[in-house]
Amino acid sequence: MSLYGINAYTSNYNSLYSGLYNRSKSYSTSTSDLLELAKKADMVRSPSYRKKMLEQLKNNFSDKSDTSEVGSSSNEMKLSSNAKQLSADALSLSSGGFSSWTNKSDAVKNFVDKYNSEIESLADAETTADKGRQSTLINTTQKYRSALEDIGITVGEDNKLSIDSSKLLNASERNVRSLLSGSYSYGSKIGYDMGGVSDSALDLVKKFAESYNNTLDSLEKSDSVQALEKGVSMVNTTKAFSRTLAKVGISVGSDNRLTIDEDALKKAPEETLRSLFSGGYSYANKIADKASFIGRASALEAQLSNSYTYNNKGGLDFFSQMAASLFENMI
Amino acid sequence: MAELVYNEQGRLLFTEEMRQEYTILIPNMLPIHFTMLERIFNNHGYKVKLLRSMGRKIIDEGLENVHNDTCYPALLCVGQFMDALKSGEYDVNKTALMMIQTGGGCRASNYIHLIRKALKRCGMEQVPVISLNLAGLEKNPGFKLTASMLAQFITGICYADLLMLLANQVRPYENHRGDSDRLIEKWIDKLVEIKFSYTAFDRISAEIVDDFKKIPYTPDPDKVKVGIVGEIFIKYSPLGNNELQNFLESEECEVSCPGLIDFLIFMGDHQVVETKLYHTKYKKYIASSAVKSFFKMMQNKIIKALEGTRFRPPAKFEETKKNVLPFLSPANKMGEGWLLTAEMVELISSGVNNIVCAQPFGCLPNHIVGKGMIRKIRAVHPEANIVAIDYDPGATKVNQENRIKLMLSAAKAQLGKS
Repeated sequence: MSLYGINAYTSNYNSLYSGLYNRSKSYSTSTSDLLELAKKADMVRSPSYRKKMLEQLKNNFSDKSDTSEVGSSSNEMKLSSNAKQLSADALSLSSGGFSSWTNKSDAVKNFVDKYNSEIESLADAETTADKGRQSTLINTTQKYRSALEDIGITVGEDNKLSIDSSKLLNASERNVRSLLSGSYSYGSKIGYDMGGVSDSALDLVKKFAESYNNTLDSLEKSDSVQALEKGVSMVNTTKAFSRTLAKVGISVGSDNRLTIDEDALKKAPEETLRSLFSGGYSYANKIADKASFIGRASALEAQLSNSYTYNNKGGLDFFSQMAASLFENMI
Repeated sequence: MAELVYNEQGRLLFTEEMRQEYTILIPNMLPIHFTMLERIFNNHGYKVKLLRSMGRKIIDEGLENVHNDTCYPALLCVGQFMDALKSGEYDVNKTALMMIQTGGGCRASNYIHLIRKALKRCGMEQVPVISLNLAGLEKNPGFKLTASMLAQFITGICYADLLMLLANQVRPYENHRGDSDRLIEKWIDKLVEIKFSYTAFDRISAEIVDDFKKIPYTPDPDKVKVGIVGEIFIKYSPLGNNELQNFLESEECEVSCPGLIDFLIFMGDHQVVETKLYHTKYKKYIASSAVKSFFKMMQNKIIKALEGTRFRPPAKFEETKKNVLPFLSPANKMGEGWLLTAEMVELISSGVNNIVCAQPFGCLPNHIVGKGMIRKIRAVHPEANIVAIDYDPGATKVNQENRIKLMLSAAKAQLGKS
């Protein structure tokens, strides 16, 4: 599956709407303007133009080996349900709260094990680099001694760390995170990020990737211009984030499908995970928006393919509705 | 897909192959000027898209990708690029970014490195960044400014200045709202097809002025004339100044915004002054003098086209410069330099006493030659009603508008007295 031609398509589409985009909402329009707009809207609505757009879009998705039942109502419904599922999965990732991502006890245990094994290996340090590293570890840990004790990590006389389970149980997730994660934390100063994801969070990511791939599969059999257009946009967004996704063990294949490397994801740095999956402008949120649009567009397409209302005089198709809403806003 | 080619310094080049299939994104600084730029590029075989996106998400993208001490215009440009690339509207493997470099010490010369840093941070190093400049910085095999393109750009700037000036003076008084905007669209369509011609400029300018004269209008003496000055991006860009011009027009004001030609003559004047003061290279002096003379000539043509009409022509550059000498030395050349103060003085001299000075966060020269000069200007021109508005990622539109409304209430009181 390739994405050649989307830029050409976008500029073509935008040129049709350039007159609409540039107009200030506060201005009323003259009759000549309305006629001009009607002409443009009619071009977009015409079956031949729609066919041309579909051809361009389908080049990005169509699975040439299987063209059965493309555009059928059942396929559009399937796409709608897959896209809605993807939107829900992406939203549960982006708005589910990041605290559920990492397991506090596991993170602290991993850290203490890693720290102690490094202290042990540096016990007989001879090189300057090793001595420097040993000194960084010990001095930094001494500075943060009381903060570490607050979350149940005790510094022993041999400079090794031990865990006070009851204190750790009562320690707040936020305190653990502020010590072991982030750019200026204790963890970052000694080269450690609590990172990784808990099993429940891993399941969420797996579910998201599965829904994403299912949506792409369904898009191949869709006949909805709007759904396909948003589908290309969704794939482009994934491409834009592909290198960041790779850092957390999610690879984007040549067929645009997502594949998860569970081991890499479990060890991924928290900051990268946060930038991808948490917040309003994150990757997950962008995908949720697009998937939600695909869901609505394909549901509408399913209705239309049942009622056969596409026509060049403006039936209840998407463009007619859009043009009508534009006219309403401008008058 | 085009092969990624790097130069000896490791910079990703924009190749001839990329020219065929890549979409080039440019930020929107001046709506009329840059729309013409976009169309001219497209007529010469490039696929250029002017970014018109707005909204908080751009600021947030900027904050995420550049240091928060970076100046606000840089933050917005980087934010707008990153937002566009992440939006999914463009295939990141077939998109390039274009940024104007002035070659001076200020933001425009250094943006390009911030953009590359942001691209690297977001894992989009495969996106080439093209520098648009006349100083010979960062050449790319797939992007060449040909003589005909350059001639069209230069004429385009002059025509765009004229269109902006006329539209600003007609829009608040037009009987059918949108007439001047439609005329701008009509003329942009015509002008991008025209090749540079010295003689045609006079004729076409006269036609443009005639067209604007024909727009039915109703004079309204109650309209408050407000000038906009400030850092070049924030002054012109609706994204940068939170649609300041629209806001002022909605508040029954006539906006007066100095054109881009003044800035270009000012840029040429830099080198002339520098050679006189610091005895720098004579070769640059000759080139700069030529640029300065050319744009002064074009400015005179615009003034001539407006003579005998109801429209207020721009002031001659030499007069503007002469007026600022009691306030500042012409050696103040960083950023907008003495031109910013000169524009304020010029606006007051031409009867526009109410001025909004747009101040972006992190622009040091702007704070000195803008906000820093207000008291001195008021001492000489007590009638001046100047308000400095700060634009930064944390500033809210409501606060900015409230400060402007305070300035407008003083202006309306003054108008009532007179």
